[in-house]
Amino acid sequence: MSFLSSFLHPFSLPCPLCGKKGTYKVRGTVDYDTLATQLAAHAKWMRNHGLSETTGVPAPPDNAENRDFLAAVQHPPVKGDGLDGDREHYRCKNCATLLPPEFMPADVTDDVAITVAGAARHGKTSWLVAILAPPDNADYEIVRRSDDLQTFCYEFAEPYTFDVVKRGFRSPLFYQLFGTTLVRRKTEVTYIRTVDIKGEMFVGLAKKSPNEVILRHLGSGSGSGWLLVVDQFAGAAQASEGGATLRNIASAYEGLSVQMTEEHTRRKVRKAIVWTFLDEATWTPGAAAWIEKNTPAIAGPLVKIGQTAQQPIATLQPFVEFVDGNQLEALRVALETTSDILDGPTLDGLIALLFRLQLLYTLRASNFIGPQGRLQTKFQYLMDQGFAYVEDCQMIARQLYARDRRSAMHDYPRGENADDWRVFPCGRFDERSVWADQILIEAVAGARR
Amino acid sequence: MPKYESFHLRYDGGQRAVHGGTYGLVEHLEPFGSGLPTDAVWRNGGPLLVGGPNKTQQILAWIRGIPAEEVKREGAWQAWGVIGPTGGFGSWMTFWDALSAAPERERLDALASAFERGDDGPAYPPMPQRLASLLADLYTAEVPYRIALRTPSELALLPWCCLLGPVEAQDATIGPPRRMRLNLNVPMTYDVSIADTSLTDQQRTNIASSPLLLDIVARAQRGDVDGAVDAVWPLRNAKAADRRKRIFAPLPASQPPAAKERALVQTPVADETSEPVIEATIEPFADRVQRWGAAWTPILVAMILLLQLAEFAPRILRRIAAPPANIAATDTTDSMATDTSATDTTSAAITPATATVPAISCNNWWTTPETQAQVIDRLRQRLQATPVVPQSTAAALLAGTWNERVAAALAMQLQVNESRCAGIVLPLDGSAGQRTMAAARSSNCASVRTDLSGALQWLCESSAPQS
Repeated sequence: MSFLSSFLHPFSLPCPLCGKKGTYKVRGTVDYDTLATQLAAHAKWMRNHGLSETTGVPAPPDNAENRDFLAAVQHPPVKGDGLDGDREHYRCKNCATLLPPEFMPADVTDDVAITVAGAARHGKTSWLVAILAPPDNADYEIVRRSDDLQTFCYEFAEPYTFDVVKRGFRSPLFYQLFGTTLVRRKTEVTYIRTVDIKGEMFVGLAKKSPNEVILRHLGSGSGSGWLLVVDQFAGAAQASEGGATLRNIASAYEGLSVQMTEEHTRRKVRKAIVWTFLDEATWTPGAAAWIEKNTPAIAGPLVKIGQTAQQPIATLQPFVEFVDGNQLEALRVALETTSDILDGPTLDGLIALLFRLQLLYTLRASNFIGPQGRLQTKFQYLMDQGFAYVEDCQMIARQLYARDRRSAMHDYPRGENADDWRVFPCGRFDERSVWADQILIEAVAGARR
Repeated sequence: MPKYESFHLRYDGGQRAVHGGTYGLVEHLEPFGSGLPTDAVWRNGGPLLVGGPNKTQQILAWIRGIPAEEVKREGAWQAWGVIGPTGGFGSWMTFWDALSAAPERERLDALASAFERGDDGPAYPPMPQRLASLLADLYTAEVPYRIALRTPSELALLPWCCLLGPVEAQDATIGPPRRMRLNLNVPMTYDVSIADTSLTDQQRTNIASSPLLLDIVARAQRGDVDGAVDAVWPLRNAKAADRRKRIFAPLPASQPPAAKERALVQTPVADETSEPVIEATIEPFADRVQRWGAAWTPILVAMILLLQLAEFAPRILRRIAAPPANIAATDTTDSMATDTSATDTTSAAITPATATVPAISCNNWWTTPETQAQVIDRLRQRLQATPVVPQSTAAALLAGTWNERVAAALAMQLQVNESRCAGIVLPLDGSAGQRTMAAARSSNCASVRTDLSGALQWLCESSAPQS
């Protein structure tokens, strides 16, 4: 039966929202108003996107263009040309949810499912924008803008998706489905399918539980699944407030872990925290004192790097050689072994240092001239020093994140799988995201390991 | 357990309830709040009357989009108001001020309590000029009725349309003004959009040829809102074809025409960027004069007689004693003659009863561009015969906005009657009002009246052809 279903419907992954299999091909394009009107009349679409059937589809931004290239919703399909001629577009046969191509198993090297969750205004959208936007804007990232690795995002989506991605419009839908395709060395294709969940669902406001959607999304497909909590660095003063929000998300994930009854799902799902807004951390004398005390060997350059000005790209230039020395390990070890209680300002300063160390790597990578010429990728795997540097940054981020939360009387992540959690530090600099694409490294690396 | 509860919802790291309401209410209002305009002109939002999450409930709210610079997030919104039983907000328009003001817990609770008690609010909102033409449109259109607003000052059209429009107020639903269309499963009775439109020829024809609607609006302007609603009743229940006939049919002879006198007030406009608009009638001028006169006339007459007697008694006694030739000489130097003429002039300016009734009725001459043009033309004629009016005033009178024309006309009157102006001043907002008020003060008016009744009445009368 399963085989027959796969034959009839080439895309047999269940819809993450309704759980049903089966799709239909969408033909013809409609404008914003038309699509919203059609969707408002589609009760299952409304219900599965968390909307009240008695009201309607939320309106897009006031100054949104009434675009006329959105994938239509009619079923059966209307006569007409395809949308762009290159890709076919499918909606779930049951709930009419538009499923980006990345949600379909196909002839790909790997597929990765990412669920993004977190409280409102914590940077989920910014992170997704960084992942989904054209790589031309990714100057400060590690993976993209590379001849070796190309990213393609799916541009046809439901209402609001354009505005969510490109303008930071608050998502009025409970679930947003995005898709990105990674092509490495022109042959290795990785499908990244993501579900963005409205922040209100994790702060104790919404009654609806997203757990089923999360499990369905992460458990399906042959590749790995990533459970990403987007958590905001809000400074020591606001740590307790942020912690309260985080506890709700943590409890949601605790419940989720309990529901992961299948060993297959347990094994394939990885958990990570996208730590956002690190650019708001500020360097402090306390951080300098802590470094001089605990990492005397590298205190000189670290303090100077930490003290760089608000526009560190220029001021960091004299320190680019620091990346090549594989010296961050000393800082990572010091953070792991020291029993010092890091107070707020000291921790704040170390987080500011971490952000500058990341920028330093970006600067180094862009200037690197190797035996084969200029660095083709901003991140090279395995034996490359860049790999070690980035891994050290992530380990430092993990330590700082854990300490930040402990200092705020929170013990998250916790439990037996606490070591499984990764921390991806992110920030914004010069209107561009810094290292928002680390998850892509992990996704690609995960396929290789 | 009260049936009516106030609420206040706002974005604060997510859409939340500040007080009252639940997240279910937030979800319910999301389609209305998402995408509301946040530009400087429209960020104050507008009213919303819609069914609640429960079918037995209805929501009366004021809802606005929050600018991104306030919350660092596009698409956020804020709403406050009252949730209560369906059909229980029939008088919501009388609470316009309380609803549209910035949200305060105490006031919103008081609003809920007033609905609970079945009270009416303190006042109807100001009546925009465009109401009659809009009603003509609504009564000749189909559901959902589209109300296009040009400026926030026209927001008051919404409650009036709800009150006098094709659907009974308690059954109507009305949405906030927005640019993007709402996609709702339950269509709103009145779908409000923001549009930069002017009156079409069809609309001009509609309003010009609909004496019934003009009369209904005039009734409401006179303060006879119940009468206006009663007059609307047959229209609401008529079939579409019959409705058009009724709208454009001449008024029956038995129906009393709208009062020829009206008292207009200048309504402060909430939005500073919009022009002030001359709006609603509160009380007929004639009624006011009659009521005032009935109470004070006997006393005043008695006082005047006493004063006259006290002043003239010695003269009369002297005249009795003196020869007739001396009487004439005394009269030529008597200031009383001038005072008397001044009083006459002033009373002629402000008393409609003594003015020549123009061909255009003072009831509705400003309601259509055609009649406005005729009045302006007559003002132009008067201006040409009044050489003391400065050029700036003349320019404003002939080419300015409507309010500027009114202000200029009054300024002209002040200058003409500078030495003994009656103090008729139009308290316009903005620079036009300030100029007029300054002119009144500089002309040493004995008193400056800030009501418009006499002012606009004078404008109406002064536009009559010079005999």
